[in-house]
Amino acid sequence: MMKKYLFLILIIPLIILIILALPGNKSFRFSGENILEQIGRKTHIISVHKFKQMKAGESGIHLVDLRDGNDFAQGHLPGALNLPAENLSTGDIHRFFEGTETARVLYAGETYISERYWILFTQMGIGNLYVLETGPELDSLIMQWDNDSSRRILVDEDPAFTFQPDTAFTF
Amino acid sequence: MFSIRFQVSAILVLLAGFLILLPESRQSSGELNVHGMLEAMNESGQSLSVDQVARMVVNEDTTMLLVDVRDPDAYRAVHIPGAINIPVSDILNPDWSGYLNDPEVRPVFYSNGNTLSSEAWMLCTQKGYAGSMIMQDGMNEWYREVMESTFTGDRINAAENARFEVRYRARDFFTRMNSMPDSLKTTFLEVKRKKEAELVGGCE
Repeated sequence: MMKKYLFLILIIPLIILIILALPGNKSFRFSGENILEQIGRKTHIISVHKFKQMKAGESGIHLVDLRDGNDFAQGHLPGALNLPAENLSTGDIHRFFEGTETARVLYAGETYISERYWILFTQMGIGNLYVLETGPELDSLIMQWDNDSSRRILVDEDPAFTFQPDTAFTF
Repeated sequence: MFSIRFQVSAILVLLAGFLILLPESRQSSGELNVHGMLEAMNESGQSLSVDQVARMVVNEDTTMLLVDVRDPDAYRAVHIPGAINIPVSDILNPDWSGYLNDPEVRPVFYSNGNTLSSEAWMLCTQKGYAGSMIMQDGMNEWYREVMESTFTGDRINAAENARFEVRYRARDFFTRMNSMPDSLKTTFLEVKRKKEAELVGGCE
């Protein structure tokens, strides 16, 4: 009789451990190759103009500010939710995006930082995400938001230089 | 009361449970999972300034590999000496893993700004290629600081003097390497190394 219970005492924790060991939400849903393909489509980074157009057509769309709580408190884009990117855990991310079906538009101090989190979240399987091209100065965008309708995207990847070759070089 | 077999099994189950609950950073394939990526993204030391890269270029540092992730046309037009070209669209091609996943050499990605180089960093880090970095603010910053800046103060201190010395040498090297046809580059590098060896008292 006792042996029957001993068997159950061992088997129940084992089943629990197997469930915990399953990949669950620790692993990525999409491969790097898949993300690279999405990056190549160049539709994930949107301009301020495009965001305002989307907002006019879909009221549930929200901006997500990835900066820390202090920066957020000092000023943020209208209607933005704060998800401080530092010290995020897998659970925090799932809880934040759980049950949302409308688009979320990420922004941070610089566009490349928010794109990093776009890559991470998208790879985790969180869909309907975009990155806002905030330009070189987020603070000025926050102040000029109502008047800004920029169509600018990826400005920091444009070369800001012209190479002048040296035609008279010697060894 | 309990048999030895039961006690040993119970200890093993508890131990396995403890190990499973530890936050793992990697999957069995060597790729980083979500937890591992969050840790990597919050680590410091992911980027090098253009001055650090300039020093590396001047010294022909072989522990770092500059990787230009812009498109081939941009690379052909102008690139930092010693850089190889792997456009970000091709960064996960297994043919490049010998360069990007070499434990002896740390890749340093650069583009014109930070976007493409960060994409390359994210994809390679998640793939499990450890130790890669980006050159902060890319070629635009390289031009501003290394190619175009001049000292404007009245009196230069030792640290600034050393920084500008490196900048001027990197500027000269960059201009020469990008001005000459590929056929002359190997000969130029041989002459440069010979001259430098003579300057430091080498015996070549």
